[in-house]
Amino acid sequence: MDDREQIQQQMLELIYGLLSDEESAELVDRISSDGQLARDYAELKEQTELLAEVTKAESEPPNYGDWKRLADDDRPTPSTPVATWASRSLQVVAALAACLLIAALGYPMLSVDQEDQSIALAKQKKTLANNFLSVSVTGPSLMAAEVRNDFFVSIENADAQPVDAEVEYTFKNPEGATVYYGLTKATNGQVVCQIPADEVSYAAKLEVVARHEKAKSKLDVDVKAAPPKPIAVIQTDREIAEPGETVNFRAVVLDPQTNRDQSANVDFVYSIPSQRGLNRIASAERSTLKGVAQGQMQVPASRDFDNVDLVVQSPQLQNFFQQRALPVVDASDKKSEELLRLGTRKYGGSYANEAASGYGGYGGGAAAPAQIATKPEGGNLVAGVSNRLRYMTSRDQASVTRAQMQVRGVEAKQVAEIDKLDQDYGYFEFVPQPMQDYTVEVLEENSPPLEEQIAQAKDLPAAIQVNNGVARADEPLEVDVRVAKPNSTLALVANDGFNTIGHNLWEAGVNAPITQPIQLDLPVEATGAQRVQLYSIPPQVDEDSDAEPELIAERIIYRIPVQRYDIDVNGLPAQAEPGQSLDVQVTVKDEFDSPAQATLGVQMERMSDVLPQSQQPVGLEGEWFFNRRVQVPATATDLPESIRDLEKDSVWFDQVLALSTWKEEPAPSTADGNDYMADVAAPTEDVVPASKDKLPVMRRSNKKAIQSEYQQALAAIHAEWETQLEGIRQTSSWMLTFAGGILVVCLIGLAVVQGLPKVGVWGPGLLVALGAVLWGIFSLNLSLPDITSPSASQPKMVALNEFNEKSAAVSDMQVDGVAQELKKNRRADGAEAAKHDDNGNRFSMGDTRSGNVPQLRPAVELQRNNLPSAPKAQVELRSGPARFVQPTPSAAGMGGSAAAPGIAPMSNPAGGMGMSDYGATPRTMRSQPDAPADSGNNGPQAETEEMAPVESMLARPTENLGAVDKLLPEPILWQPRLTTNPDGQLNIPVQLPQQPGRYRLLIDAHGSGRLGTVVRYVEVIPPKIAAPTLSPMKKASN
Amino acid sequence: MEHSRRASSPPPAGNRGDTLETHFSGLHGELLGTLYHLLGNMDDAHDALQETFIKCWRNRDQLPEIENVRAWIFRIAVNTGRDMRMTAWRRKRQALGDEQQVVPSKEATPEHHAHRSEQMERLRIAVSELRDEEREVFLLRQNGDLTYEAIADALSIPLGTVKTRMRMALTHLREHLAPQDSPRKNPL
Repeated sequence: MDDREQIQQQMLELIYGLLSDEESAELVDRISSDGQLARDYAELKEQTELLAEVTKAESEPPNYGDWKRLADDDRPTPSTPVATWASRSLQVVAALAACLLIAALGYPMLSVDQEDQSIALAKQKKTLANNFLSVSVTGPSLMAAEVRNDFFVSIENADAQPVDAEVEYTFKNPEGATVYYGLTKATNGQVVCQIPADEVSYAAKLEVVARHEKAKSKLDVDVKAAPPKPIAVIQTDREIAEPGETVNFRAVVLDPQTNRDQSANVDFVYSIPSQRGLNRIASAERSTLKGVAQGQMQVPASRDFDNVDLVVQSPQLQNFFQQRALPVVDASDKKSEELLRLGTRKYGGSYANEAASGYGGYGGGAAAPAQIATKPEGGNLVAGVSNRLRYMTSRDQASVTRAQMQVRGVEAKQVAEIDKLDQDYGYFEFVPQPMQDYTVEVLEENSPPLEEQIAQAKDLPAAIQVNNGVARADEPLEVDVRVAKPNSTLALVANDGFNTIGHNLWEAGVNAPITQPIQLDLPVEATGAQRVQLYSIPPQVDEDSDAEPELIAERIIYRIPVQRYDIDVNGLPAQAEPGQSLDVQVTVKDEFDSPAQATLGVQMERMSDVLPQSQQPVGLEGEWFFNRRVQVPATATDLPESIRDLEKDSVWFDQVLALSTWKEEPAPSTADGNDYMADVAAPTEDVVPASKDKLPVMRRSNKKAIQSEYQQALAAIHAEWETQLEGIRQTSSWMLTFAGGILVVCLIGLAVVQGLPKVGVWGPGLLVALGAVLWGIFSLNLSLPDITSPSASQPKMVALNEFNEKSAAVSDMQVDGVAQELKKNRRADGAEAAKHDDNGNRFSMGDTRSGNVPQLRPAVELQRNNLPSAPKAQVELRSGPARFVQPTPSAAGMGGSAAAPGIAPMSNPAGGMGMSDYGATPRTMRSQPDAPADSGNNGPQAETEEMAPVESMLARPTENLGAVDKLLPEPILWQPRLTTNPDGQLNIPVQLPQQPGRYRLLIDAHGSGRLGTVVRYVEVIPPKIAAPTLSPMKKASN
Repeated sequence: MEHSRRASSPPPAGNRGDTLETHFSGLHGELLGTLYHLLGNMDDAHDALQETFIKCWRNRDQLPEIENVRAWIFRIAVNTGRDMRMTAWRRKRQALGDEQQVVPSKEATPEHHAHRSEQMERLRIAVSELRDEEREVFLLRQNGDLTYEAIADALSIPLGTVKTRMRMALTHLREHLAPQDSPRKNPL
């Protein structure tokens, strides 16, 4: 700033009064003395005046009256300090109340969002569901001893989703000690818990503990292992005895599951049908040695009886006794026809506990030339799915024309086998319609049908088809289950007549019809004939329901033993001279071709010239593996002599099995049986465990208890949600009421203080406040709507008394506080109700040994004409209405009696407890117009009568009989108990008799769980008539 | 040399309203100009003036105790201007209020009109270029004719600060008020 500017600045400060008095006086003097400064000052003064004008504004003066009114209207009314303080205080409080009011309105909306609530609830539910695991165990209700047993365990969460949990299972003995322990992991919620064969006998309880994350579930299952008692096979040195003869016999006592010989104290008795009571056989061993007890008895000399029942009894035996009927005939008195009738023992012949049915077996004699046996696979025709209707007809071998199969009414696929000269067999495959009758008939050309069988399709859940009915025991059993009804619970059970050896229980699903392949991994020890049953399990919707599992299909299978003996016989020529001494060398080897030290039974007899060659699989092996359990149809003629030959012909064997029925071994109920029972020692508690437990498969689950707990926990969560929401709502209501009240008071106070001119301010506020108060009071009395999750609208409440302390221990859930509170409530409840797990809800899949078992009614019925069928026959499947006659009494049965051992209808097989004994009432049909439908020819008498031509046909060979001695077989060698040396060898000296004829040597071997049978023949020919054209020796293959 | 102070004598108690109206009528131009320069547009200035009057009117009961009614009124006016200037709404209006508000002059003679208009516009710009605190002090002094002590009291700032702000304002204005033949210095 230069001097001029500085003096101008001072001048301005002088003008605006910033200079002090001295500075002002000095500057004034200077301006007065300097003209230029004076002019500048004047000019600056003029500029400041101009600036004063600039800083002022000129406008019209306002209307102050309006401003005054505005000021009066807007100004706070209180004029006094107290009123002002009161007014401001009221304003502040009112403002706070208004804020509270707004908060009260917004609090519920900010606190609870319906969508968030639903999401949170669903998430919480899902989390909660994972905290609840349910364990289901399916296993044999009666474990098969000496074999591995499987228990299927499925793990699910509360949403029924499978959970891959860690599964810890422990088998414990009755004292609680661990027998077997396993730790495994479920895959897709499924896991198999196995107990090895060695431990089965000790197990009494199975504990399964499943863990997944924090969830844990435990299930205790009582298991039962009752090892089957041994079974005795009685063999005699002859098939037919004469009065006064001495008969040698032996009983081989074997374990039915392991085939090992067992020690037992036995008593041999015999009974005669014409006399009550038992006759003890003194000359017999009282205990077994190497599984064999032998003896001899003298048949009474009286001639008023036809057979003697040879009985071995022991409390250690299954059913306490086994018996064998030995025909007794006086060859000098009997006609050859009677000998024929008595002399032939068929497949399925009576073996045990058939004192009432007597000797004879299925058919009891030669099969009719033309018969038909028809049976759906599994026993029932199931509507809606493909079924196999198996058939087997016998015909004259002279007929070279095979039957032409056709299906009338339905398009059925036919699979016919043609490898038999005298038989037609195969199956029709078609889809039957419900309640439709399908008739299979044997047609003769240009003549009415001679044989008919009718099968009616039933409305059942499923049918079975066994794909490998005859297979090695180490191969899994493959079954196609054809499901006809959706949502069915099915159980496929394999058992040996005593224990369950394999099972599978599953939900069939919603798709039907559908074929579901099921594979049963049966233990390799389970050999021979076994039974496969398919059950339909009723839904467990109602615990009090008396619905029982329904047996809907049954089929016999055969498991070829893997372990068995092969017997080589050397030193037995095909032909020999009378009186020749032979040294027969027997060598026993096992399946590894290693020498085996086995126990042998040797029998040799001269074959009868009258009686036809026995068709049964003679010998211990056949008896044990097959004939003891299976009742074959009458049409199954020409069964090979050796069971091993039968095994090789697997297709035909399978067909025979499909048509056969299972021979039960019921507890003795006849008078004779009671006598036996009275004679033996009183059974102990564990003698008949199986008869009490009739459940082949048991299923236990704690699902219901877990679901109950889950539902309660869920309900607790819902309750908590509702409580929380109710609290929010209450708080909001109280806030509304309180704030509204305060606001009302404040605004009323303001109205008093400010007066009516301010009504525009406090009036609306007062209305709002009053509304808030009213709404708050009203909402306090409102009932809250249910807070429901999207999926669970109504939580299922289950009574707390479903639980007991045990249930609390079962499911040790690590749940949140809700669950803990739930447990507290449960403890407080102290309920001791029914067991929480579903053990109380066990179902019963009937044991067919029991009387109240689910019954499988055969769908096939037979009616046969009186006349034998012509050689040329047709088998056709025909649908359409059937004609019925009166049911055929089954008293004579296929088992037949000694008085009438005729050929019985298919619907009435021997054994009395086969498929047909499930209560089916046979319906027969006449197809010949001239045959009255109500004819009683189907009765026992008719059966007897129709045997006449059969017997006459069989009697033809007897026309050339000369001596009576040739009528009956004559035993020449009986060695009931021999033992091979460590090299598996044994020499048997045989002195052939002088009488020419055909002799059969039968050697049985058993030991170390293996069986073997061999049959050899030798023709004794006098040297003078010896010719090379004799019939060749028939060898039995092993 | 100092301007004589036009201190108002306290009005009678029953005539306080008329006294206040009289004061406002007498100070209308100064108040409106002051508020105009404080707020930047005439509309806000009118609103502020109305608000100032209302405030004064509501407090007219205090008039007997007020020695310098003029200073009192200007203090309220400046505070009201400050409040309005501080609000976002006012700031927005101020930002938008870019109109060239012409203050009518009492000496709008035809021969001097152009020259004076040019000078007045230059001075108006000079005033608007003052900082707010300088402008407040300047306007209270220029239009309110308040002593610096009264200004310090009205603005609640020290007297030295008032004078310093006044000097700085005058330094800025000097560049516009200086004689025409004086070389203008670039304000920058």
